Amino acid sequence: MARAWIIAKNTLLEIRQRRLAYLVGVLSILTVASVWVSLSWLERAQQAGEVDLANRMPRTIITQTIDFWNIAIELIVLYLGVTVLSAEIKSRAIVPTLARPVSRHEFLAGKILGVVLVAVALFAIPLALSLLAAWWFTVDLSLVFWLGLLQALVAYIATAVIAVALAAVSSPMTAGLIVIFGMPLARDLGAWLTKLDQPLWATVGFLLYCFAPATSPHELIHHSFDSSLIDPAYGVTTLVMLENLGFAVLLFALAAWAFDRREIHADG
Amino acid sequence: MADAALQVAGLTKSYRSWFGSGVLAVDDLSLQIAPGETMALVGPNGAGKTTTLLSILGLLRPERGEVRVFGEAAGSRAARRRLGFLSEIFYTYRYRRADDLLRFYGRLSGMSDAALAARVPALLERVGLADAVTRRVTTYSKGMVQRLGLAQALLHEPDLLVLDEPTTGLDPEGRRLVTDVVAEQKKRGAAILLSSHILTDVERVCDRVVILRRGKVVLAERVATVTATRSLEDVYMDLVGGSSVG
Repeated sequence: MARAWIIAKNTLLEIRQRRLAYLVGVLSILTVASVWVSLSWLERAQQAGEVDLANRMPRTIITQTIDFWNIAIELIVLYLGVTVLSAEIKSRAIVPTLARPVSRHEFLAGKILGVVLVAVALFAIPLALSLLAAWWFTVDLSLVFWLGLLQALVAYIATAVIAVALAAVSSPMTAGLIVIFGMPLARDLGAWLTKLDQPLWATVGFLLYCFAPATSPHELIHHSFDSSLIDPAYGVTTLVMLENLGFAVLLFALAAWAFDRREIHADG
Repeated sequence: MADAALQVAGLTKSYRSWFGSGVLAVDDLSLQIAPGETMALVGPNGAGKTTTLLSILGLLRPERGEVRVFGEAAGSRAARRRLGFLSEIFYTYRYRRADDLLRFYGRLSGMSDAALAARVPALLERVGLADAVTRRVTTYSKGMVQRLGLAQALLHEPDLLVLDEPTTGLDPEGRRLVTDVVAEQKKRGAAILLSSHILTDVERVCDRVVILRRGKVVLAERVATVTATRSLEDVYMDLVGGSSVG
């Protein structure tokens, strides 16, 4: 996998050219502004003697900051995932690269790894802010919080694999539409059909359900300070993470097989 | 021929749209090149030259026929390990520096850092880019990019060099560089397949010439034989004159 790592590092450089730093800067400013406003509310709550509210607010600030970044990073990963491969095919820079002894699955793995590394690097920003806030307000971060970080990481990996895999065999627009609309629709329709008391529809429902990644019953970070709600769902959440990793691996294998058969033309 | 550097047998490739009729790009093409031999692939635009070269790289899949590089199937890792390629325009990652870019390609070819440390500066010197090593490729002129492309094709000392109109965008000095490099590689024992429109270059550096017209071979002969009584350009015009599609 040494070649996949070489491709991943090149993908990081390529993504850096996309001025992603500007978007990250805007998100950071929004984060700082919202934390600033929340802190002023916290001060007012303390002045008003709302002890319970004042105790809960730092936790809310932490979880909402991470939630906000979580959504933003998911969208960034999706965008990068569906465009990172097509951009290289369109620019034809892929031709001299694939003329080297690098396999198509190594190439795809490198692209995915590059996108995941960007996601992890972006996620370090809200994580650092949250840890700073937790230390400042002496908030004890629960085990659920750390499990939630793992859940977010699994979601980024799954989204990156799905986006790159679909873009390897279709246009970026088609891949994006499938991820945003097609998969949730298939999952919901599948779940509805499996409830019907007819074997045929239940089978169709199951197949549709398999077409999309599973959803967790709880966003762990969001509920990380409400352990009474979360405790019973630990097993399910872990299972969902494993299921989605398996789904990503399967989709990667299928995409690598299809991409291996895709022709690369000199005219992009 | 087991020891051929390149063997193309009955290569046929057409392009088809979803609903429309297809275009036959290459029709039953056969050729082979021995190590140390230089073959020119010439023909008008749309004759099937680039399709043939991309099939040799394994980027296009032939409908019929077979392409082998040193006995290995085209596109296999073993085949690509022994192959160097430069396209008409060297499309690459223009945000990278020249030396950095060559190290990237070298690592993909399995070269060690120590080998690259010696090879990269020497190659950049050879192609006349020693003074522009630290500049990003995006600041390069078209000719400089093509020189860099030539360096990446030579980087891992390939046994088969596939050059698709390599002198495009080059000034006379750059064109001389390419022909000199071809001669050097031939001397080293590498086989070379050169697609070109510059017939004087073909006469100067190639052993054999294959002329394509609408995907079919219309002449496959030794250059010395073809040019014994007439210039290659005259022969070319007689065989394919007026059939250009691009």
